[in-house]
Amino acid sequence: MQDERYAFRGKKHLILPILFLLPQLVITVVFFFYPAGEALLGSVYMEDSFGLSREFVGLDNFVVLFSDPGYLETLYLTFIFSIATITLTMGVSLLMAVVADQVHTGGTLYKSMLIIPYAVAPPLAGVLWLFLFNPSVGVLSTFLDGLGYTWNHKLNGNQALLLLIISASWKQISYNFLFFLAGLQAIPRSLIEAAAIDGASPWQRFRNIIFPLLSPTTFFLLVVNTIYTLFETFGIVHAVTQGGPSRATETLIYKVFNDGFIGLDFGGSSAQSVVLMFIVMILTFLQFRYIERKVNY
Amino acid sequence: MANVRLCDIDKTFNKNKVLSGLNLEVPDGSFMVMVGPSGCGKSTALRCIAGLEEVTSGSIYIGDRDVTHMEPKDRNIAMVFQNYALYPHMNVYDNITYGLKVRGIPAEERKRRAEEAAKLLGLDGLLTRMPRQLSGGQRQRVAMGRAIVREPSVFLFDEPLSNLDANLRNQMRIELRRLHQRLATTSIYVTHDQVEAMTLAEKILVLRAGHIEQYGTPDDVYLRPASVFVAQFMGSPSMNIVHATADGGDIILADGTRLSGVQAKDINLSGRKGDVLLGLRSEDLLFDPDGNIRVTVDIVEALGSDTLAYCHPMGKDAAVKKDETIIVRLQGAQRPASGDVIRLTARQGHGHVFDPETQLRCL
Repeated sequence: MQDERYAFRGKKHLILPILFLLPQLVITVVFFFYPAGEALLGSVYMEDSFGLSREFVGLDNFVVLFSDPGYLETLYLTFIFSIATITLTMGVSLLMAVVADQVHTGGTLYKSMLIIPYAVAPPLAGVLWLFLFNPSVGVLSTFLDGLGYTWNHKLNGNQALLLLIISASWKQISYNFLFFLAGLQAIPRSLIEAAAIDGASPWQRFRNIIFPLLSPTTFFLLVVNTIYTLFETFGIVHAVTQGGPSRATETLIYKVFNDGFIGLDFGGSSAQSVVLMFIVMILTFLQFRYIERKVNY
Repeated sequence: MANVRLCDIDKTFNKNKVLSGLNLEVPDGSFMVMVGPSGCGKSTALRCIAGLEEVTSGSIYIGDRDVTHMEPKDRNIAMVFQNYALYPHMNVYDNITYGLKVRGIPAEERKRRAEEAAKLLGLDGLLTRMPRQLSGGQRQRVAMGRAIVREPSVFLFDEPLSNLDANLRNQMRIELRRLHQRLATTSIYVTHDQVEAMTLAEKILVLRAGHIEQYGTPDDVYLRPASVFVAQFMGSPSMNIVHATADGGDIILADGTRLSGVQAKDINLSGRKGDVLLGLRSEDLLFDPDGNIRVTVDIVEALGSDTLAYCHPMGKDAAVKKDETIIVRLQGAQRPASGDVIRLTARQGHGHVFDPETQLRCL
């Protein structure tokens, strides 16, 4: 009986389902598996700068990578950058979503405005903040100057990192906001009213009812934001600091680009991208393994 | 334990008047049911008492306290919602005791009260289950348990049985009654189901478009409806209302039939002459070969225990009254066929007479 539920039974019916799957399969293979395979392959070769010859070196590229104190610094820096960006993004967008959820008059306009940054391309988002914080003419840096604080992210590595964190978060807040808002609106009003009658304060209602019920959204955003900070922030780094000053903002993804396309060390760069790939895989796995358990669906 | 008083409650949503001039008192320990068609403001009234909606004007008292501007949590009420509003991420025990926990009641006391409530409601083995693992009736009981453990001075129910199937609804209705007899806590119950209202209530409040149509005991509302609206809203099938004329204490139907002594004792027709509306419930029209009311049977509905006949009045000018349908409740064996002309008598003292202008009972 169970078999009859499948329309495409038997070998002679195999062609049609394959045809249906083909476009997706082609895209996956050409744009995901092939480049990933190339990177994996490239990471065990040493290639000359002109790409004319290459030599199999085994895991030498990885050995070089992990014995380079510069690379470990980059790892640490990326860690700081990711954690800070994710925390800032999720914190601010959750706060905004909770507030927007209470707005009744003009709510649609307010919500639409909050979504606009998502439509801005990452490099442009970077450029925007670059202008605001331009050491000589930027509005915000001039303001900080007035307060007696010298802002120059072109000289100060910490300031450069802060600027990156702010612009990367700003870009991603809209996206997070949208999901948090949708998540909040999916919580039945009566649950919150029941908690109010039960005697819970607004904070207790948030802490005990709203936040746990938002956990599927929060978990999803955590995974998405992790991938965002590790990969998609490249455009912002490239537009704002180019990894400088003196590599103070060179994140993993930017170093892959820098060593591979500027330094023309293809083997080393491939090895780095493989490491990055594994970091993301491990993080995503850990998130699913340990955090998803605490999620209430 | 406390009574509930509403004084001149008005509630307006965006210039839309939902409640106007509500005045009533729910006596301490009684079970009051607010009933009315959808949109009559009954849920809004309940939410105002709960403090989930701010009243536009007027005051609400629970016991001696003016709670008009108090937060819901300070009103000492508990509410059971239509969709139960159980916290989906907490098990039954945590759902029931959440209100006690946030109020800082010690763990042993919470445990004692939860177990007591679970026993009362037959939830004993379910305390560690999650809401999604429960059936509709069990969820309903958990929602009640959550209200009971708080030991509030007033219970509020917002159509709590409307999501249950018919059998379960009857069963829960009886359980609710039993619970009320045992706890004797002042209860306010909202429903659109007049059967629920009749069976549960000690007092019924019939609301229509935001104002009180009638407030009284189930007998008051059923036997002495204050208006055509109440007469037709309460009881199933709905009361027959026909145009008639009052004449010297008698009532003359449109076809000229004179009925004397039909009206209920509290109705005063002396000195009234002219058009009236006569209301007769289907069970107060008796099948009688010698009866003076003649009707043509249109449709017959056999319900098993009895039969409903939908009839048209007969008379010299039958065409004029075609739009009036008279529903007659017949005993099981009596099954007239469509098109038959049957004769009826109206039971003495069971007719309701209303003024066609004001739609109110002629007193």
